[in-house]
Amino acid sequence: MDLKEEGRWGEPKGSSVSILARLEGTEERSCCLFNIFLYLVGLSTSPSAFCLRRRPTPSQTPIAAAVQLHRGVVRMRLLTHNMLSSNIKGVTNGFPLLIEAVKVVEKEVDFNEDFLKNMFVKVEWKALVEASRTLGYTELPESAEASMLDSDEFLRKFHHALLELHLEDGALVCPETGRKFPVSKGIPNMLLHEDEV
Amino acid sequence: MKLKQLESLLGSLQQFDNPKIELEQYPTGPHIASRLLYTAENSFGDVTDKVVADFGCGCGTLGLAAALLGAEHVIGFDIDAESIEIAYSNADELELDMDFVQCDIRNLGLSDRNIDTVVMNPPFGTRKKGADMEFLSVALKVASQAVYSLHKTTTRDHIKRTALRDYNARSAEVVCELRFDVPQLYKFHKKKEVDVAVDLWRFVPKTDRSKDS
Repeated sequence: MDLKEEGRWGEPKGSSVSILARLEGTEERSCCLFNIFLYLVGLSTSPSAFCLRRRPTPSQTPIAAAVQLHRGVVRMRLLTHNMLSSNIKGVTNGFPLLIEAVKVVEKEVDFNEDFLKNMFVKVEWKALVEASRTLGYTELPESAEASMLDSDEFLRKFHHALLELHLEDGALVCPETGRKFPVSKGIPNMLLHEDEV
Repeated sequence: MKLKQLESLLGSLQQFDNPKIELEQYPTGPHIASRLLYTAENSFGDVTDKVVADFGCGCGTLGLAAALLGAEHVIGFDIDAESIEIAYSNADELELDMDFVQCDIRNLGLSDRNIDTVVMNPPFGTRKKGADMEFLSVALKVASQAVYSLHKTTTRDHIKRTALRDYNARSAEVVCELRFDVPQLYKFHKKKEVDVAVDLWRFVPKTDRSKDS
């Protein structure tokens, strides 16, 4: 484990993960010194031989799992949802996909006013409103027009719905056939079966 | 960001563990990827603050390069769950936001309103003939601003003709010619490493879509 990576997880100092990481690091360092010692006195053929032998011990597994939890980034933002549709054979209007939300996560991203103004004319507003409501965010107005873009409050809400709400687990559902496209770890699986193409 | 910085960041990305030949999975090298995105941004302004899609994203190199150059929203599309898994951890490693969709590009339902730029290193069609053209056809349907793609130099005339005649392209220009290093990935590769001449293309889709199907 690389000690330099510590802190990227945004953990407060002294949390269990970083302490474990620190402990592990110390252990590894002293182990390296020990190897070099063995190597120098001729008991080992390689300065790293000892390390190679000790690597996969069961006690390290929980640490790895904890790190995964902290670093797992979630994604499928509603901007992505706003452009996907069901393309199953025979379906005439597969947009918008309904959402079944099992787990929703919020993640802050930088506010970019120009981008939002550009996107406003491109997004399907109604689909965005419905989708954000399914994810539990009810602040967007039913309908919107360009004049509202002068309001900072409106832009913040638009920003939040479009880019900061993530569906992490659940499904996207074809509005015509009810076929479910599972979303797991924020990744929708839109692969079609052979008979749907 | 400087070109060199971009290239070296991309060089740190994890690549395919078990490349799948049927999908023609070849990693997009940091040299080519950095030049593709750098040109797209610095010569044409097609990346920063844009919505960028990476078709056949594999390990995410092109999409992440776009994110590094300030694309506002990047989506990687790939058929292979394992590749997306790697791309996902690459995005984590660089602390970049990128959405992913697992899908077959050929039958993907994707609106033509939201995506500005498509970047891709499509399968060259050496295993499945015409695979690169299928990607190009879809890319030109959904992009509103530009499509950047790599194709073998030997197919240059064919690509230009088809893009302009059949695929809704208003223009199709080769931006530069590059060497694509193909490392010895698969058993049938006899030589240790070969260079393939590839063209970096920039296609501009027709903006008036109302007359197109």
